[in-house]
Amino acid sequence: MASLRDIKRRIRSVTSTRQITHTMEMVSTTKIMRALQIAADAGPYKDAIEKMISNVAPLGARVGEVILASSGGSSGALIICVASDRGLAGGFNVQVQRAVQNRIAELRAEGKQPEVITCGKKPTEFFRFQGMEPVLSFEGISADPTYQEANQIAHYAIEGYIHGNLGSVEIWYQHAKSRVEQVLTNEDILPIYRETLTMPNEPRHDEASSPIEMVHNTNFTFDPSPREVLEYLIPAYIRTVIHHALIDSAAAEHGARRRAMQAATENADEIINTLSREYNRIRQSSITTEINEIVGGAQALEEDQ
Amino acid sequence: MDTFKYQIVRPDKLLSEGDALSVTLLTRTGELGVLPHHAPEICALGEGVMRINHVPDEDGETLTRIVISGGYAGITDEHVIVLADHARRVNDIDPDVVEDTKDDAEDALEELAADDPGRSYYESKIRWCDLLLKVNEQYNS
Repeated sequence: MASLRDIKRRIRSVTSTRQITHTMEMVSTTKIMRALQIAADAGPYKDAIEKMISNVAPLGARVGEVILASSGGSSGALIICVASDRGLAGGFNVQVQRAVQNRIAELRAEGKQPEVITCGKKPTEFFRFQGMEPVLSFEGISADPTYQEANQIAHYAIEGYIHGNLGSVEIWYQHAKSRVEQVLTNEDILPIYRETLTMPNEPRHDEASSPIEMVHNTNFTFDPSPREVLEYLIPAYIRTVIHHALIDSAAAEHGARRRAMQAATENADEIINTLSREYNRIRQSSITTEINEIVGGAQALEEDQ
Repeated sequence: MDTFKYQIVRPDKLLSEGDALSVTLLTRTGELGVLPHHAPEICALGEGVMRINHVPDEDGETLTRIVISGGYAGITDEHVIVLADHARRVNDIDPDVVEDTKDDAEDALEELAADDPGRSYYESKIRWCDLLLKVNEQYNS
């Protein structure tokens, strides 16, 4: 049986762990709101650019045609894996990594040559450990992504696509559906077909702003030509999709961490309760033993007299 | 009075929206005035100050000046959407902050190699800061 001192020490240790997890929970709770706000703020631009592209697309390219020119049919496939720099967020990183790993296996089976860009320290380490060096990796940005990273990724993807090194580009990340729910999401970024634009694959409409509906297929005048407008809009669109995924994932990370830390705090509470009960039981039984001994001793003395 | 909806969006947020009487856009080729029921048009934006004449807002203002750089504007019968790479209200420029941002961007640029793809980001940032400072001098002093 554990001694009273041992139990006391364990209670102390669990209590301080509980304090840490509880603090992390509170920190994440405040960060979620901010991160979700950033994601919501960026929504209107994405909506507007999608609408504008779907208006220009019919004029810049025929239906079913690939909009951005590519040398075509390349076996290179780029996967952008967005996760976190830090752990302690439940299955947040592992889910994305596993999904991307499966996808890589799938692509290899199809005879493609997948390469991966990682955002976050955890996935970078994971893929490096798997013997797959990321072509680009970003660390230390998962909590506060900026437009610059999105820019760099988009630049790599578009260059690779235009020069025919890449046949497809997709992005995997955790979408913050709400403050408590994260959904593993993947979006195909390239190639862009007109159909995918008119039906944006991931409806991420923001409730806060009033989306303005653009009328489709109006006879627009273009300044400069539709082709040139598209050539500007498409890279901007790709940047936006990537940027949005990054900030969305940051919000999801805080949500996942909050939930993981909440569970950890609850578990710690439970352990503290069990240990306190055990502690009291042992204390009581030791008191009982002591009283018995005293009474026994007194009786023995009485008998002696 | 005839009005139409306008939205000014930049990548990180919706900068401004509301009902406008007229909007003067700044395109690459020059100024473009938009009144209600304008013919549908999509045009490339230049660099400079665009003006919006709108219904009085909370402060009773009817004119908003916004400095923009790059991007596109979509005009249809009922609304104007400005998708700007950079946008800021003219009365919301803080020269000290702009100077700091510019210095940071210049420092970051110096550290990058001459062929680094990240350069264009900082270069455009510096250009934008210069524009803000110029506009600030012109309108706010």
